[in-house]
Amino acid sequence: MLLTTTTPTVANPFMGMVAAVTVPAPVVVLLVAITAIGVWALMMWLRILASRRRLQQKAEILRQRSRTLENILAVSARINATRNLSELTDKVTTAVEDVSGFRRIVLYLWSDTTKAFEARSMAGVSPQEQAKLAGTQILATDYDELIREEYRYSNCYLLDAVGESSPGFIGSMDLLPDIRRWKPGQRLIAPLASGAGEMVGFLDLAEPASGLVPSPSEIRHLEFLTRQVTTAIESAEVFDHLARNNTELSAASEKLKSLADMKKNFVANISHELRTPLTSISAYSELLQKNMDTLSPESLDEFLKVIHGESVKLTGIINDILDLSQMENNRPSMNQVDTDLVGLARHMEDSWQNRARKMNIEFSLDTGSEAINMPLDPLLIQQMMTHLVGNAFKFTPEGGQVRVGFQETGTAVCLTVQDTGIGIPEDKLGDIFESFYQVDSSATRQHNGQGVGLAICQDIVIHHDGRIWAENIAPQGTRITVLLPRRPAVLQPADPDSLTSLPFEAGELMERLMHWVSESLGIQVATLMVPDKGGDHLTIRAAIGLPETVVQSARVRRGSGFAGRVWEDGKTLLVDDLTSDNRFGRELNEPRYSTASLLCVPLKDGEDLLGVISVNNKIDGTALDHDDQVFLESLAPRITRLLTRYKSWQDGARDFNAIRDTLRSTTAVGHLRHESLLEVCQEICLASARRIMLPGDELEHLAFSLQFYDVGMDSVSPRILSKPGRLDEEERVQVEKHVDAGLGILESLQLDAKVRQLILHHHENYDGSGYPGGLAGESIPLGSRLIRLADTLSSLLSPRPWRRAMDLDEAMNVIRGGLGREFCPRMADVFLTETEARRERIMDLQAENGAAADPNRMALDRSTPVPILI
Amino acid sequence: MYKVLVADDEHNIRNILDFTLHAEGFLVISALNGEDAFRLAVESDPDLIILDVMMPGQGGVETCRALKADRRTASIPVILLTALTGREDRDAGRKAGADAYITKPFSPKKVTDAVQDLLGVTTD
Repeated sequence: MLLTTTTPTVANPFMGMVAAVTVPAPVVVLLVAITAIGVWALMMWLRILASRRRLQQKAEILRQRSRTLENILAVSARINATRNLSELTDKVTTAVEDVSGFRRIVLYLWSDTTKAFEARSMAGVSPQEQAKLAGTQILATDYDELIREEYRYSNCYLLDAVGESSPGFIGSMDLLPDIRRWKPGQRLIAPLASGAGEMVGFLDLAEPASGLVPSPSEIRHLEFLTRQVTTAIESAEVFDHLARNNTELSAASEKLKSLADMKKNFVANISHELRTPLTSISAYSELLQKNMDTLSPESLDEFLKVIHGESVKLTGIINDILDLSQMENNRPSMNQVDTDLVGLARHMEDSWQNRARKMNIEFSLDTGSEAINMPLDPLLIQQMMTHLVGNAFKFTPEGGQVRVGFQETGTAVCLTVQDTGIGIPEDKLGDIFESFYQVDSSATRQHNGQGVGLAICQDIVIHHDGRIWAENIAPQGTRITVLLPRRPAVLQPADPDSLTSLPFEAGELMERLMHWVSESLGIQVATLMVPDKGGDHLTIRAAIGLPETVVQSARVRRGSGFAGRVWEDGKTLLVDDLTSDNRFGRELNEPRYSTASLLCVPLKDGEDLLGVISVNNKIDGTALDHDDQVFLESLAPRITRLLTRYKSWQDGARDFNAIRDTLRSTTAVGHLRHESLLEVCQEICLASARRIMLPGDELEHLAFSLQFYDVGMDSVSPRILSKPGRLDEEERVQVEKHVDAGLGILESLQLDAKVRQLILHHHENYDGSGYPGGLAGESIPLGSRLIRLADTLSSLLSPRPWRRAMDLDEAMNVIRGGLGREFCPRMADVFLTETEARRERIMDLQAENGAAADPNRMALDRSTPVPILI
Repeated sequence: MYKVLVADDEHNIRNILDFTLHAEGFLVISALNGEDAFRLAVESDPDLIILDVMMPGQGGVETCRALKADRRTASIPVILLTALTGREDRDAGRKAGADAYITKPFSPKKVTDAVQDLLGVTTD
């Protein structure tokens, strides 16, 4: 109303009315002016208000930005202050979470050892997925798939969920609509590239809290942060590297220093040892030369004696040094033969007695028994005794005594060399077996010791698994004790079927087991018996203390004899005294029982009786008692476990070796990342699988199957494998069996059913003419169809005994020729595309291999019409 | 007649020094270790001392240092005799105040030359 009255000039239906109201003219003018001013002021006020709001909004945006930037800077500072790489990676994920608003973050870093990106830190990831991601390696080629140009968004890459193939954002981000909803399954890849363009790693981001695709400015913020992160990671890596190097360096320098010290001592000692006799020799000979005419016959004689004596000494020192260096450099191969220790000592007794007479020392040798036979290296043991006794003479003054003695204990032979010499300071007792250790230089001076002998002795004793120690004895002197463990030979029957193909470890396992039992119980005879194939008799699996003939031939019927009885009723049998126990009569004639007691324990695996273990003849001559029974029974479950392991080894020795080799080659490939044609073919296979969007778990199955599908080829006779030309029916059947054989071998790995399927059908043909199932078309698992292609390609590209390796084009043509027959056309199409993408690498690898055969075993493809070129 | 004190734990070495120096007209007294050498040096005031470096107990270098530090024996020339040929060992000897350093194996002639040189005697 007011507005209309202020504009009287405007044509207005109410004009007449206004005019009709009689208001004086000056008042009207005034009213109009006031109104105009009011309107102007109002409009101005509104404008100011509006622009203020705009300014406020702008300021708010700026404040927000500066807050974000500040936040980023603070985070960056925090990150940059962290030098520890693993600590840093966690901080980075937290920082990215804070700044970017993404809730699911995985940080991948490049590893030079695995040559792949590895997930190093993550946030917002479920524990199951975490476990899965932790082991994931993303190869450079996989990464290239993530950063395709069509996904590019600023310097990041926005990928749609796997399966949808709508291209990302082509061109500049300015073309983006302001707001875009984040689609489930989308990922944002933010590369972490150094200034030099080197890839440090990348961030895999998803699930923004806003539910929106980040705006261009948000992306810029993120990129600003990634630059900081990259720098921090790079410097942490450098720091890490330096720190590691540093530790290694200081450890090395520490070692060098101690080596240098040792060397210095060694050189000082050796130089002194060598120069002292040398001085006498050269000086006396010089005197002889100059004073030949004037010297009295007595002096002449004395000079010559000194020269000779010092030469002998010098020779001894040099021999010692040579012995030691030989010992230390190449540990002598043990040449253990059954040796009579007493005989060895007697052999040297005369020379010891002679020396004792000359030095006016009393010498005695107490051997205990007439003969002590045990497996020894006679030369080394003789050398050791010479040193020990020689040492004793050296340190014993005139009128003293040197005694050598042998004592037998059940499980060891003890040699002692005892003197009434100067003794060894208590605090040095532990060190005297070190190379060139000298208790006191005076001792060496006085007694011509070289400090080498005891080190050699210790070496020899260690070679025999024994111990050596020194102690001082009252009232005066030293005793050196050498303990040589007496390990009876464990006999195992020579069964040509099982033993020859047995892995070495199994035989050794048996040996350890038997030693363990005999040594823990202190018994002379231990026998482990297992049922034979027929299951009616027990045969000896391993034994200690029994004659070879018994071990080879013994068969005990179920229910008869001690072992047979235990086997039948599954209960432990303890006989205190065979002579008085009227349950037994006939068995007493056995010559092996030197004591009248026996203990026999069943080895049970649940309800199954796997065998029995029986022991007798306690070394100390006492009867086996209840304590021994409890002890052996407590060992029984462990023996059983070893036995089951042994049994599985025995059953599957071949399979075991095959699996082990396969696993080894697999892990070797995994670690060394040595590129071979086989690997490229596997890679093509996996890449094709990804391209056809094979789900993740099926990809895993495929990757696993690729490593193992041809294990069964070992079961095919090499003759057939290398036969040129077509195979006859029988040979073909054998080759076809390799699939089953492979699955048999892999059985023990407890394969996933799906992996089994993939391997089982990797020789099916698309037209149904393959084996073993004769499946056709889509009923063949996708993965099997791909393995079929990879197998064929790698086979074609490698030379075979009957033909040269094909070049890539030839090989691809062969595959094209088999479309719809051997190969699934859809899979082959993808496979060939992926192959084409790796053309250069394949050709390089083929060139590297040259004419040489590809060392990688690969299933030979007999059923395809391929391998007919010469 | 000049008096030379010889200290070495090896009797062959002592004998040879005794023999050579005696032939050149010196009076030789000998010690088996550093402590004895120091005591004899104080007691019998020799004109020159020959010390082996590696002796049981107090070695030649320490004995030399002790002799040079003692007012009564400081002026007596000392020859060190040693199997140690390293520069460090030589330096240690020089620092201890030794007047000459002879390495083993040595020529008896070289020792008598050094003795005569230090004592300022000429053979002819």
